[in-house]
Amino acid sequence: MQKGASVTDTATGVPPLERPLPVPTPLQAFWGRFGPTLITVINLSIFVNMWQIVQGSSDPLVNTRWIPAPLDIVDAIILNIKNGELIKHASFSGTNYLIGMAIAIVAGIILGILLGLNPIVRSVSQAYTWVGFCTPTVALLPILIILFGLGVISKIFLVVLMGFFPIMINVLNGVATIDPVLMKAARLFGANRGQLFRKITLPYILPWIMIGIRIAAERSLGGVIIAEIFGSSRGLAYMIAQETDKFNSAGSYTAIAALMAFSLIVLYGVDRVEQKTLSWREASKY
Amino acid sequence: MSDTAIPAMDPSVPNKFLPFEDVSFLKRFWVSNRTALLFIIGIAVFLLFWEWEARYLKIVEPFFIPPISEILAALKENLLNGEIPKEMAWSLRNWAGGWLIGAGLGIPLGLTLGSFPILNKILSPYLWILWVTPRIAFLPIVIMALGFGPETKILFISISCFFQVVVPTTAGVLTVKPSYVRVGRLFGGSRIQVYRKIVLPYALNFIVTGLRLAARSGMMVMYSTEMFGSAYGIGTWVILQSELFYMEAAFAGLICLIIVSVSIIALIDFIDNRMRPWKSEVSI
Repeated sequence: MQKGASVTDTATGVPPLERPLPVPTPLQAFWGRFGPTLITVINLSIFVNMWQIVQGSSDPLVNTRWIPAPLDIVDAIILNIKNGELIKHASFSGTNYLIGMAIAIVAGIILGILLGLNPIVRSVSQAYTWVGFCTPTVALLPILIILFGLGVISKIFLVVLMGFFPIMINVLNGVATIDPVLMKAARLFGANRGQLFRKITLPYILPWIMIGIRIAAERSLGGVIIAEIFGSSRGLAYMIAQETDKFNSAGSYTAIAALMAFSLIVLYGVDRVEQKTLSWREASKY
Repeated sequence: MSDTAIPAMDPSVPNKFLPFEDVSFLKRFWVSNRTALLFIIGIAVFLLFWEWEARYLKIVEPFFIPPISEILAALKENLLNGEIPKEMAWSLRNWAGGWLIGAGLGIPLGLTLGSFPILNKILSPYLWILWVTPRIAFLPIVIMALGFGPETKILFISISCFFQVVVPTTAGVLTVKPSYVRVGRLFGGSRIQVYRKIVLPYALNFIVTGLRLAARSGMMVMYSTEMFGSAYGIGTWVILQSELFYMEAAFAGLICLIIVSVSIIALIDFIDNRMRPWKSEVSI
């Protein structure tokens, strides 16, 4: 409704179309804003309390060697933050993951676009990428370790391998779906190749790139963990294995909690970037 | 010449009704199978390059990456003496068991969560927490608790498959268009009839997608769990061979593993395409 319209309506005695919204009471406003969060928090805290009661008593349901009580985990987290263990391991895993993901994203997008421009090359490279996508890449780890040793390189390489194929296959599929009519129209209006790429190709395949990055983000995290469990001297997954060997379950759950937080942050970040870049377009999730 | 004469009678007018140009058999074959042929040629070139590299170029020590002919010899030997089939069967049995258990638990739970919103509200925080957790991180603890046998593998595979199935199933039931349900009710369908004839077929699409993704991620988890330690299994066998520096056998196992997983996934996708030709999703 426009402001002018309602003014003239009141002048002629007709009730205004803009009726004031009912003002919610403070309680209602609070509930509408924070209600779902509050329910989730209560829900989770009931669960954690029951966990503490069951596992923290003198006669736990499951041996605390496997599942510790929540308070013990909190103690272990504080201890590990204070003595710097957690930061040391987390920074190692995080660095490997971020470097690997960066390489995978850049290589996947560039190669995908370059190979996707020609239809025949695209269909052939799609076949190869599909094979790479369906191969359980973790199985290559023993060979990678023999080639590159137990150091950082084999871990980063595994992350790159696991993240590269989902991005690449999505970019290739995206390039294949570009509407030729749009390309022709742009050519007709005098766009050169650079403009064509920047104004049509890139916006068109952005959602595909984001889907690829999301799948790659999840997969590569698994890759980091497997590479570190298999053989490493640092890293969060190494910490899990080490603390488990010491039968210190609270310590290994500390590292698991750190991994959980890390993956939450990564997935949330990908979601935010996706919303920012694709606010003009509906992205399909599956 | 009258207008009614057929054009072929007039030699000055080009004949519009000529049969199609006779395309040679080879050309037709090439056009219809171009992708597959180029793919095979590409692989053949790659393998020849590999052989040449390992025999003469030697960028990487041939001890680490042996020539492809020796790998194929090792593959043949290990296939014939039953090593690879035995290990592969063990791994695939775990995979199939985990997939069935995960799907068997995931589909009913997903349908329940989708149909009863209150249950969904209570359980969804836990599901989401476990969904975003890299669950493979629990591997050392579970191995300590359950041992190196098939139980650990089946547990991990089934959990992974369970999540891949439960989330799409719930989403499928929740996203049924309300107008469809209303039409069903309007035409006198009971609640159960509406559920059976409208909600379930709608959710089926999502369920099948979930099952397909589950098969794929289950395969990944199958090898991951064998990485850390196992009694049998193709992944363990490959690690063992590479630790003995019998690289020909390790590569033979890898090739076998890649071919088997890719063809299983291709088979599932093929069956899926045949059974649901109407599906409009992109194949990822």
